[in-house]
Amino acid sequence: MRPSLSIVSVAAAAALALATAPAGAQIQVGDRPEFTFRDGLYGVPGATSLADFRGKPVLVDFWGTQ
Amino acid sequence: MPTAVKLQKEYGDAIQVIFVEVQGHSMDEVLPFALKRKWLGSGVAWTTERPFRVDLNGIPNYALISPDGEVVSWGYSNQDHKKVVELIEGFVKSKPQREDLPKPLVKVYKEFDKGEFAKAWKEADKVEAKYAEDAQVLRFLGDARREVRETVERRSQRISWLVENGYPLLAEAQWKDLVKVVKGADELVALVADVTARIDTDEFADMKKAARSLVKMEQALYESGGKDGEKLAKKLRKFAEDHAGTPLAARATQLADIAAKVGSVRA
Repeated sequence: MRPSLSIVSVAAAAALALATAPAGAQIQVGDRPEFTFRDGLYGVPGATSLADFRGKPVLVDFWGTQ
Repeated sequence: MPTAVKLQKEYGDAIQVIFVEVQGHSMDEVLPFALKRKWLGSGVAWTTERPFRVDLNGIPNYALISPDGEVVSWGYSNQDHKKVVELIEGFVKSKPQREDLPKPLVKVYKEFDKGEFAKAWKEADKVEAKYAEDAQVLRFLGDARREVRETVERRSQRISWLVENGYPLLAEAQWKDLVKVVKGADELVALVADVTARIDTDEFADMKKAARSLVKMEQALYESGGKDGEKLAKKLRKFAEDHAGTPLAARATQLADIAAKVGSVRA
């Protein structure tokens, strides 16, 4: 018997919750990081969170000025 | 760094690059540094707040997040550059994947994914009429409508933020785009009503006029890489004085601060 859509949807939601990485945590492939930037993002007025970019790929680059 | 800036310029609004400074410097140091290298104004986002960590010691390192919010790759930026470009290219070319979507909702999401919210809403109306007795379809339809509503609300809130923080030209452009795609769906039009009321005022028209000269100064600053920074800083401070107490003044002051500091940035 095929699982009903509601079961699939509940299972998907549970998987999503498990995969959600807490802010500042170390991430792995498959994680779904969520984060709100307290001071916003310079250069993209009005964007305050990773979720604001849903629908497009986001490249987060960690760098230093030294 | 320069390669990621180049990627942002090449793909424009189809991707988002976020640079996170992780060596403990403040934005007051980061922005003049980036200005001097002509990296500002490229569409890249700048921050010192680290949204998450990757299991690496050296920098630059990165994480690539897919359009639906999942981390698909992480590593050292220079080593993985080719891989990252290939992944981005794949995302930009592909359509959103929606698994387990009931067939009656395919057209709803097709319009939603194109950003055609009113059309998605009307498709939802058709599905609702046709499947009025099908609880399962109606439940999924409720989710779809919520997703459309939340997206319109989020975009509307972002436009309000732009108005409040001195970006009237950007606010108007985004508002026009949004109005176009909600037209014909009354419930969605209502979600934009507040921001429409804020844009349709004399005060907003005045702010737009002033913003045009600020934007010119901002572009000149970015294009010059802060050359003649002191001179530009002086002009920006004068602008801030002339528009004291407005959000435009706050923007001008921030730009003046960046311009003034660029001279002390090492080459």
